[in-house]
Amino acid sequence: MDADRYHLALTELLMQLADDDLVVATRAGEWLGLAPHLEEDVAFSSIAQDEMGHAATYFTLLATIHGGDRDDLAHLRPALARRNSVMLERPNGRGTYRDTPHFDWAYALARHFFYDTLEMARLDRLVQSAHRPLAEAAAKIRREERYHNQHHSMWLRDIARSGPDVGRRVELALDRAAADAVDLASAGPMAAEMETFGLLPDASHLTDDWRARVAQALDPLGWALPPLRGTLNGRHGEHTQDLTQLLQDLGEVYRSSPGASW
Amino acid sequence: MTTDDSGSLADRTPPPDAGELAVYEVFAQTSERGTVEWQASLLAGSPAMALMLARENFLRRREIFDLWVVPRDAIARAKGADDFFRLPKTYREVSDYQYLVGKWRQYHQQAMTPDTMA
Amino acid sequence: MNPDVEERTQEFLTHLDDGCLVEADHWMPEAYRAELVRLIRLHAVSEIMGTLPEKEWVPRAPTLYRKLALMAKVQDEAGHGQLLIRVAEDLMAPRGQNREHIMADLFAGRQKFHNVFHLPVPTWADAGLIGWLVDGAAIITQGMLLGGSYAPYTRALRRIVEEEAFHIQHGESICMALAEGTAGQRAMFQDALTRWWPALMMFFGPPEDGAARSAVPGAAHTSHQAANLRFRIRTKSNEELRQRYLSKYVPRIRSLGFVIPDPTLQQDSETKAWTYQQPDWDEWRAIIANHGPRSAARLNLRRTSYAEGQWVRDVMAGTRKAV
Repeated sequence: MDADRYHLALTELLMQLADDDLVVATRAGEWLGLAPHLEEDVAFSSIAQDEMGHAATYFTLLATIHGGDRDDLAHLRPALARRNSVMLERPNGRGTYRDTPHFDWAYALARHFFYDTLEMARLDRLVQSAHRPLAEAAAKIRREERYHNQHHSMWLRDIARSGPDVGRRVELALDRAAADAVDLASAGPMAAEMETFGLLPDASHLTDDWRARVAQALDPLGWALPPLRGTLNGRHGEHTQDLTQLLQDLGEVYRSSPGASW
Repeated sequence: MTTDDSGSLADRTPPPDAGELAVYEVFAQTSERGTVEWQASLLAGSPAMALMLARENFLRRREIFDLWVVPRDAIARAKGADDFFRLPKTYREVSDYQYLVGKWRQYHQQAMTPDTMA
Repeated sequence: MNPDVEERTQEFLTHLDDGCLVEADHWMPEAYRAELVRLIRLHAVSEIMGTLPEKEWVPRAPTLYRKLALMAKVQDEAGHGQLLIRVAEDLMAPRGQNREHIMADLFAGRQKFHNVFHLPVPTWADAGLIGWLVDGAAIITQGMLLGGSYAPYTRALRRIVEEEAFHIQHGESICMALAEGTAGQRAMFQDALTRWWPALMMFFGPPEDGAARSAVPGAAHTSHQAANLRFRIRTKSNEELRQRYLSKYVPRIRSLGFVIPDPTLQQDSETKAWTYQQPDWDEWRAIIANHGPRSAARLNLRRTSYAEGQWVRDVMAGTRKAV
């Protein structure tokens, strides 16, 4: 019984980690070739690649304990089986990467800042995880995340110094990101088991920890964490049409020829 | 090659304030198609002086095509293994694609590299 | 031309003939600068616009590995655009121009980019084909340009060609998997090849008759190709590059069992010269004049995102002033 709960909790945790990174990397990847500044295009693209690489790592771990193939798990699961936060599946702005991309850089920064702050809070716990392969992966991933934090902090700082008109853009973006972030710093319905089994140590304080870290970064810039809202909880498999659309893209080729080698 | 040297660094440099020495980092291009690379640092009173000293201090045995001196405090810098840590990304390295050599052999073809193509 | 400039130009050409290199701050004839700016802008903007056809396939790439590798590849293309646009900006600086002028010209239809980036990419095989056969063509061109006379351009090219080693293998790897895959995968690639072959033949530009090398740069009747050869900005003609491309790629494509859609294609066993069906050069002119099937859509992507990012570039400029 306990073994079953352990396995279930670990599966849930790995799905949250893998799905979060897959979805955020896909949205970040839509900026390829479209970022506001050429040099930034290249830099932000590295962040997208890092996140996709982390997703690949988590899906590999998931395949090991869950059975199956990491690409099946990444490409074939329907939206209701996905555990990513709703904030991460939202589009980058009006339009799509294929047609008239009215993408919002302030929103990209706000979302990544929230997410990367969560990642650090989560990774600081996961390095102590009872599931050794996860703890080892987390230790490496945490080192790579440093650049992401430095990147977003630099942008937020430069924008904060650029006067109220520009700052207003970020305030609105933080608010829009917060509107879907009620599930972001949650470890989902099995959080208590994750903590009991030592899979995600101190899972019960994850949300508070994340809030504190966000506040610590925003306070000096004169910004505050807006109220978190949202009626859907991604950790429960509740998602928007945006995710359905994104998953259609993700699996389009992979599904076209089951079992084929690509 | 004709060089328009009316705008060289030395000519634009204001005279030094008396008694103020600064550390200059020295960079040089030592082959015609090569890139500018860091050589060493020195203490000088002005960029003009730093240029004058640099060539004989660090490059007396080298051919020079381009010589730069930069006041150290003008250099923004990031350093440390932690800041530059990256997980392996072999999907973007040629090592991941070496199997293609064998594949092409099966089709009686040679694998291509930029060298063999150009 | 005033006598002094004429004398300096002659001296400059003699130096080029001696194999000397030119740096950004060297004196150069205006015609040399103009040809360089034209070529390097075209190259830079092609890299930048060239990110768009392939990035469409990043989310849809079939596996996590392919997603990662394609992201890295598109990132490199943007990076190549960055290296090249900096070389162009330094050359344009005496005219008081920078990359903003290049983008404005692009949006106004005054800045061209390569024909292949005006075309649709309807399947994953098309994405793979770009990686294998379009990048292959680009590497042959860039490899030739490495020996050029303008040193800052050749330095950028050296970095670019180094990264292209990954690109060609990345493209080959995708296409090899399709070639060795299911009947459906093979058919997908064959369709893509049939679609792209004329564009690949157009890639190097039209052949040119006559003694290109003896042309007088700056003269009204002289083509850019001829001027670039005289200035040793390039060292081979369009047709020489296309011949090389055919020698490298036709045997490989055929070895995988694919059919090149040109029944007239053949190589002379003695001279090794290829004869091939000339593509429709009027169509090529129309495509690079932004009348290709995806020209307007791709320009719209670039124009929209550029406008949306203006405030960010303003922040960057403001930060610079404030510090």
